[in-house]
Amino acid sequence: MLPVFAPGTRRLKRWIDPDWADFWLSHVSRTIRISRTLARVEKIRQETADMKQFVLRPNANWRSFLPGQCVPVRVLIDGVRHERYYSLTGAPGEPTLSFAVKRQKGGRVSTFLHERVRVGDVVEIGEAAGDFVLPAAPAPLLFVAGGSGITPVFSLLRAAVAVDAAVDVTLLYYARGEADFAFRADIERLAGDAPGVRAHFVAETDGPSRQLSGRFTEAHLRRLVPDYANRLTYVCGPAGLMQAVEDHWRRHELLASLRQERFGTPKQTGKPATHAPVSFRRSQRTTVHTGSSLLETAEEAGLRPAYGCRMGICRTCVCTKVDGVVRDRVTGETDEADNTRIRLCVSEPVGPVTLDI
Amino acid sequence: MEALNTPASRNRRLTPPEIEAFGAELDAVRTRIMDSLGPDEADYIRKVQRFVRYSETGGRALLFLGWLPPMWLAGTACLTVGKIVENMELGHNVMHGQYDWLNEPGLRGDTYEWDNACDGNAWRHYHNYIHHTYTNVIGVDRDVGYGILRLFPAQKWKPGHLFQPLQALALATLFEWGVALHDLELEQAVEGKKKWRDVAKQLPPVVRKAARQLGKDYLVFPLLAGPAFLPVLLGNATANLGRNVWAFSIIFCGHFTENAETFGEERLENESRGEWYLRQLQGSSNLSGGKLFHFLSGNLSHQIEHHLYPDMPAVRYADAAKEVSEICRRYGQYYNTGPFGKQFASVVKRIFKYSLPQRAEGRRTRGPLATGEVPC
Repeated sequence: MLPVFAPGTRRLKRWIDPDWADFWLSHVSRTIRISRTLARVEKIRQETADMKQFVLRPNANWRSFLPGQCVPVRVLIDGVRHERYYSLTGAPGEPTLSFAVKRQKGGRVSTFLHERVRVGDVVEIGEAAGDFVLPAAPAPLLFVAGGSGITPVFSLLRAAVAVDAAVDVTLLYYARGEADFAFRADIERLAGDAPGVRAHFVAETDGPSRQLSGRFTEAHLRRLVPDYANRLTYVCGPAGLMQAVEDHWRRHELLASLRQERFGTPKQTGKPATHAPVSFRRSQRTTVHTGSSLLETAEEAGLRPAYGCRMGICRTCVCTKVDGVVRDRVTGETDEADNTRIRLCVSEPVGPVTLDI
Repeated sequence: MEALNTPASRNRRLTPPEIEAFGAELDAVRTRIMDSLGPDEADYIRKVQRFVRYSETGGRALLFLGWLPPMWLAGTACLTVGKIVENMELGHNVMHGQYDWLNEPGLRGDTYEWDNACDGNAWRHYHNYIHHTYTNVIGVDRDVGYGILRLFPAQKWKPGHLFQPLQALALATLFEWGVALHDLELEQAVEGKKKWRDVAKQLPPVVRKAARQLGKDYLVFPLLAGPAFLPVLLGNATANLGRNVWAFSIIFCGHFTENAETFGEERLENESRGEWYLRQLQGSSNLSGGKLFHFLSGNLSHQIEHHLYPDMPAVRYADAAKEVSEICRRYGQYYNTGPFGKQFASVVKRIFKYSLPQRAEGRRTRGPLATGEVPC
């Protein structure tokens, strides 16, 4: 059993350094902490050849989530803390949480999770985030998922049925081959139990008994979901699928009823790009890169970030780069990771960049 | 006339292309080491953090039995070492962002708060920015004499400087408080160069941090100890004193040794990266010693490397020093290093020497630059 650190915790934190307390707690328990949310891996299920689902038991700091949201998973690889967001696949209110990870080619964290993490290991997780969630009012739904894009969609589907067993929902699920459909048994069970749930599995390559195959096309829509225009649609999957769906919905002026969840954007590398779009998340401002450094661009956009030496020495202007690729003007190094700390005064964007200022 | 500041003669004058090449070689050292950072440095700093936590908690626990003299001595010693390592190898270095690449929230440069009376943000401003950018530029780098002491002939002599050996002694014993008040620039306010209103605006975080430190060491822990109130209070005071004197000694050896140089503000105009490196080199001095000594000094014994590469994990300075000293030798630049005793003696000598006015008073260490020439 994990003891619950209830309201007194906040008052306690003001007097005791939470890091210090967690350090001593780490001597008596692997997961009990004052501030960090640690979770012990209880089960690992191979969903498909390249996707695993992890079921974890979090400590008392875990706050719940909304189906469709994702959670930052933090692991220590060679001493460096890496963070990636994964969609939660369990149901809220369970004592455990689960997320599914598709192994990415050359992906540091997904490879680590697939190869190194075992039952009994402890990983750190953050707070659930994202607005790819069910609507407040019930509505007929269409889910379009491709590959690992099924992870948030599966969570949404199950939650939709849990809220309303008679919900009218259609799932179009695209994958490469017959063996690549994750959560297939769970989805078919849901479809069997709830009369309003229809699930269509479409493999890109021909399956033995498939009527449908190939990638998303308008023909699929017309044949399987003729009333798609009346449905609130959720799409998550590879960039090609997302684009095809978005284009179709735009052509038919249905974008207002389309919800999209993107798993990261393709990284651009190479030369620094003037006129690259720069978004300042906290200030809710966007601009294009015109200065010689991101600091200058921010200043030209009317922001006043803290700065000091303006030559990369003092780190006064360090801020979090949420995503995008930047290049260090002094060392020439490029930084592609999300949520890393960069020096504005010596950084220039290589592609679109989002900064937390 | 006696040269007031001798090292000019120790350094060969470099031509602008040479300065550029010198800078490029130092950049290459930086690139090599920064590219090689990995699990070793990550493990090291976490080990240092554990060392600090064990020694500090252990020291405080032993002091709770402080009526027994051996316990008091052991507790005080543990706590002193804990505070020294926390301030220097952990706090100072982490606050420079040396370990930001670990992505570890507890080791992040812009949020770390140390066990020192000085507020972390004030420190990040005047140390990381002012001191490290304008190192040893008289009138800009306020670490030159800390606004109190006259250590170089380029600083104007005032009668008050006659007492500076005593002031230096006071600064050594109360060093953390000197550091805590440093960013307020009180001496500027006294001279009317800064408004007291602006000083007042800076006060809240300074007061908050001071209250926290005083409350922790002189009220909360002594009270928690109950009957051992007095030994705990005395132990904490002794540990703070020990840390203060040690930090003062190491830091003064970093920039105020016999051969350390100062610069005029004109030096900052259009300073190239190579020239910046040269200024950092010429304004800093190293301390030679064993591994334990480097550890206890937070590797600030490698002050030259620290000033060339302030965001490089300090544990790698010894590695960098081998190449830096060799580059300096090839370019005919004096690599200022020596054992602690010798370097500290030269600092003490400076404190006494410049408490008196010099005949050539008021002259700058260096004159304005001749066209196309950089005096190195």
